[in-house]
Amino acid sequence: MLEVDGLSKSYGSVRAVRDVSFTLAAGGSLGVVGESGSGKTTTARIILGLERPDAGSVTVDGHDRSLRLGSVRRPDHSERRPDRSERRPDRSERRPDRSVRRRGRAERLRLARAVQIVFQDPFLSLDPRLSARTVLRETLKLHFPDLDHARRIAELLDQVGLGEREADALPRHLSGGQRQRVAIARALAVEPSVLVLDEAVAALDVCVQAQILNLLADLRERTGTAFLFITHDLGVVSQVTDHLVVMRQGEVVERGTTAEVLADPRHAYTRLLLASVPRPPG
Amino acid sequence: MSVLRVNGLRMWLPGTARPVLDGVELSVGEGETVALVGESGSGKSLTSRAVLGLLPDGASVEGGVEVAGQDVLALAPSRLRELRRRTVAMIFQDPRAGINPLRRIGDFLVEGRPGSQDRARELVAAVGLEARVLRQYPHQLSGGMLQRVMIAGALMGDPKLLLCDEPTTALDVTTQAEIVALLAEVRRRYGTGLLFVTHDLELAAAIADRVYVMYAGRIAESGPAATLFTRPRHPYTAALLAATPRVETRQARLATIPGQPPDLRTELTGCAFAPRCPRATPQCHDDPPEPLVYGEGIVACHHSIPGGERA
Repeated sequence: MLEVDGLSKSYGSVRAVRDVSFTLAAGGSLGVVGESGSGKTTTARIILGLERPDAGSVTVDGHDRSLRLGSVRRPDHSERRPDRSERRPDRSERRPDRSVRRRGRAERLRLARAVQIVFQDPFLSLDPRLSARTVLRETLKLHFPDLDHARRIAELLDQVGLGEREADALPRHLSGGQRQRVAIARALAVEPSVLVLDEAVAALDVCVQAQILNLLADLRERTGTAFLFITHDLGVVSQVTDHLVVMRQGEVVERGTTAEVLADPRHAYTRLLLASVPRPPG
Repeated sequence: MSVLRVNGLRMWLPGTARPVLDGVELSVGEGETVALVGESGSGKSLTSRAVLGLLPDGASVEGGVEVAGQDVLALAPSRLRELRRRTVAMIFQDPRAGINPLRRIGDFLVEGRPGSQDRARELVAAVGLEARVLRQYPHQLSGGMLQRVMIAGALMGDPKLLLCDEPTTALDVTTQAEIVALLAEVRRRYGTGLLFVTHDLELAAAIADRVYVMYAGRIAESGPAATLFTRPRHPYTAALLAATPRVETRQARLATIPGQPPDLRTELTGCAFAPRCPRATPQCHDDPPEPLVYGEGIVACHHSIPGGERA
């Protein structure tokens, strides 16, 4: 399903991600755990296609995503990322070449359908002027112009547990948990193979967090979408993931099934992370 | 002798149908660490800010807030400034928001305290930083180091009470563990009373001697950290614990609490938690429960969990 192979990325002299590899099976759930600077967010951004890796590849359903949009596979991955003029051809170059642009757009939509993301703060990631229903309609119109949108919208709202009132309310009139449900519905609308959850429950109150975690477990069962949880919270990881990758300073230091790694951590850093989880006395 | 005593604190804000704080009773003894736990909107931060005499615009208050014997809510502005300079200090969630990015750490620490360079050097060492940070600027330090600086800054006036409002929420887990250990050390070394405000019940239980759980502006339950955590009496405390995902055990589903906390625009007739409570009876919807003493703890519930087993 999702295969990340030998990913590396540097910003100047900082090596944000070094030779990171992991796989996520269809319908699986993988946790990527690490602290600030561990490279977990950079890895997520590369998987989404928001960053291009210096080396390595990201494959979803057999399609390599790390390539430039619409370009042919470049044999040498260590080649430096193209400079600005290469990535954005100027107007005169673009205009006569409409067929390439159209392919580019279709390719872009296909990539977007494969992987979706839910961010930590739904207030920043939702358009403040659009209700949940409008967001879903726009998303569906873009990706599936021929579908019966009303029925699919009702189905999505039902899946994430949003009622009629919430569906027509603007984000500022929704609670944090409700907003996160909108963000999840929007991501699921395109039926992605992989859903990336970047600290998606970190900003929520405990009770709301529990509701969203239960919702995600249900959705995984019902839709077969694979989940990639980027988080610092080992309790969350233990609850919702099957496999675990521990990252530190851009490198994977430990991996395995979640139960094994948490019960019997091998790497000193994993042990430190576990020891740092606050525990009441006795 | 208590360094902090909050007596029946009530606070109204314009445009709300019920008080945002409704009879809060709380105390912190000398050198004691007390945690105030609650979700967003429970009133925990309003309570801790009221201790400094910081009230939201248009707030009206009733009840008393005594810090080292002085009634904060009745103090003249000059006395209040003196209190904040010497007796109470506060550290916040985001250390970067509370420090001038253009001034060196050393200048930040001695600001308004001429001749305190030696004290600054001593405290920087006490919070586990090297003396050279005194010459550095905030942007040169990590979040964890900067929170240490804020703790040092808070200790400059040798306060009796240190208010910590989510001081570790923005930090990494390992850094959080270091700051928690540092606060325990501060309390041991300087005898400072700590009021630790957090949404994290486990963190509260790990750091505090006693824990207060707040819900909708009221204290639902208080007691020794260990008891409250292993044998909660209030159904809300039990529900919070059950909803927390744990590293050691994986549940098929996490327990959730149906519904949402009461809106500020609706009046409360009975117990604030009654509409969401599995143990609620008609009585709960009509009569607000009085706080009852149980051993070392206090619980405000008509049907508190007997023996305090986990619900």
